[in-house]
Amino acid sequence: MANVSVEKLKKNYGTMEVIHGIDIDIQDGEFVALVGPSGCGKSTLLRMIAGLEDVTAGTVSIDGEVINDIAPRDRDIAMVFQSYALYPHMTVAQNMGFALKLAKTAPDEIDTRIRVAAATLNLTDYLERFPRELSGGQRQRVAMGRAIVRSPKVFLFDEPLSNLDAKLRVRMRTEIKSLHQRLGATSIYVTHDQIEAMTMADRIVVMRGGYIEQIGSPLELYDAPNNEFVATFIGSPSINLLEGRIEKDAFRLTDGSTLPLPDGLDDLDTRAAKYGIRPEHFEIVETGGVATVKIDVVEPTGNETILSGTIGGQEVQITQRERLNLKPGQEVSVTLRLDAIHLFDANTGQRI
Amino acid sequence: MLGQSDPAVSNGKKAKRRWAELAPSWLALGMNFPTLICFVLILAYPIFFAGYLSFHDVGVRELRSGEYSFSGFANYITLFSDPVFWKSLKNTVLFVIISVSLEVVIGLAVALVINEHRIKLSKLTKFLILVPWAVPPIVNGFLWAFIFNTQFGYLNRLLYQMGFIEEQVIWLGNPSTAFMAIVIAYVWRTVPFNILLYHAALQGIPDQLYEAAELDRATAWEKFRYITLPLLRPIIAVTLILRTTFAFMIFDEIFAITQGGPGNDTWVAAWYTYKTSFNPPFDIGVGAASAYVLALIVGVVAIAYVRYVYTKVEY
Repeated sequence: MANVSVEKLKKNYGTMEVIHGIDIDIQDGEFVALVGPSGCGKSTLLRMIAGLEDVTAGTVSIDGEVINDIAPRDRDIAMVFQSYALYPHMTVAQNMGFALKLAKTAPDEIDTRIRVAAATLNLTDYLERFPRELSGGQRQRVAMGRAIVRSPKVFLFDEPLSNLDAKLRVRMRTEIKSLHQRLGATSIYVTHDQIEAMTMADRIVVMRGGYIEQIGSPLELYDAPNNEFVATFIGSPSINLLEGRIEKDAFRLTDGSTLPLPDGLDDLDTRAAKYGIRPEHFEIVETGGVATVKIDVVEPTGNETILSGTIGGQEVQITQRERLNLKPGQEVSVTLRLDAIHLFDANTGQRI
Repeated sequence: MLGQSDPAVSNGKKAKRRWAELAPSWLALGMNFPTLICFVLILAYPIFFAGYLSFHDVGVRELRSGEYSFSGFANYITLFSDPVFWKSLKNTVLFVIISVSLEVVIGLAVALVINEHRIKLSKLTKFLILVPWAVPPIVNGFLWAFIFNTQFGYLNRLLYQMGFIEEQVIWLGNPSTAFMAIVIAYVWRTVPFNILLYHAALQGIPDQLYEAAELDRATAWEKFRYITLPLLRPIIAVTLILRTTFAFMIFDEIFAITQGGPGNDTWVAAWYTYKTSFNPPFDIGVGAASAYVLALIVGVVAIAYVRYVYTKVEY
């Protein structure tokens, strides 16, 4: 176990810079998710920590020791690949024991550690099978088993669940999280799926275009996004962003109607901005609403109802815990949870 | 007529239906007929005819009269009691072992170098590596005959100028150097085939397996030993089968470079067949018998390879 830190880290491919000097500090035993859209540099960053990509500038260190020039094999890091990268000609047991065999561990010791890992991962019955004889979820577990038998300093996960179907992904998410809670090893987990990041990580690093947009705990990112990108990336259904202007004591939408401003944000300079409100922060009321929503689509999911409609001509999504008997075309009156509203500068996207 | 019994069906439709009915059997046979004819005339007929000849007395006199008398196993007995045949066979086996081993080892080494990301090779270089495979065997033989020529050969000249030798070496006059000359000329021509197949197979191994092995703390040698080699096993088996088969039939380089000399020190099985059949006393029956023995050996070796070396790898 160890802490990992990257400082002013840069990566160039030829003349193109893809990671622009980023800093992250990961504490011993922490589970950190690197999340962002495709091409944001999250996998490249992970591979630089693993040593599979060269560092152009800056440093990667484990336990305070700079490891830029240390070969991947000497970093004591285990990685679970998106494709699993299981050795096709080796059985499950051989795959899991390969690193130990290379390290000249005693055969009984290898056997014990494989059995312990296999029991943890429900693979005991499959030890003599070849990867081609396993399902996607089993292969994924073998890949994890290969990492855990080694008890490395750091675990790296590169989108390990993206090749699984939705149901299995949810189950493996829980398994990985409980595994981390048991082993307590420092883990860095790359994903493009914000739900995975939210549910599993102690802290999330949101990346875009080779920059870090924000680092924080899942709920910090959800409740206090630094900017429009983080606000829209985290949360599903996505936050509603309504265009308009901040005026003296209200937010004026593009069609001229107004929405109330929360305390503390009601004395700002007039400027173009976006009014951010999450779908669950609307409340449908009989009377005394502050805005009117015209309902277009009603989607009941059982545990909640997702309503799509418009406020002042701009699209919004609203989720309600109650089962609502609403019809398309109907207009409803709503109140807003003012303390959960975020305003974003229309030009910079930064939270005001 | 069919047309009268069913006037509603137009001629075009009828024709189509007839083709459709032909399709499974006769059409397939018809389409393959030209190939089958060639196969029968060029391969099957000579193979069976040689088998027939190996059990008959076939010499100049019989060829003239066209009547071959049945001789049972006499040709085989003559063959097995001829020390030159055993010598040829021994040379052939030795040649196969040395040349096939070199083909696999050199082919693998060059393929690994070409496949290495850190080593940049131009397209021209990659093309040049494959050129010897395109040279006709007999031309390759004569090229190397020039190189090994005592008086005018490049090899003696090169070694002399570099100071390695004091006087010209008679490469083809010494049994062991003559044998190695054949091996070198042959391997030079055939190794590109192995390079090509190994390189293709190497490109099929996912990079991530090596990355995983690297993180599993494998050294370069361990990656080769535990990842590359097992995954190349099927293709190595294929090249072993093919190259062994062809090496058993080595002829062109012998013909061009040593003619079996010095003495009969570089006689091989195919050369024995050729010399026995087409040189006085034109003992074609014995020649055919020797060809059959060779074919039998090749067949047994090929089956052994398939059984013991060839295993499929699935990703």
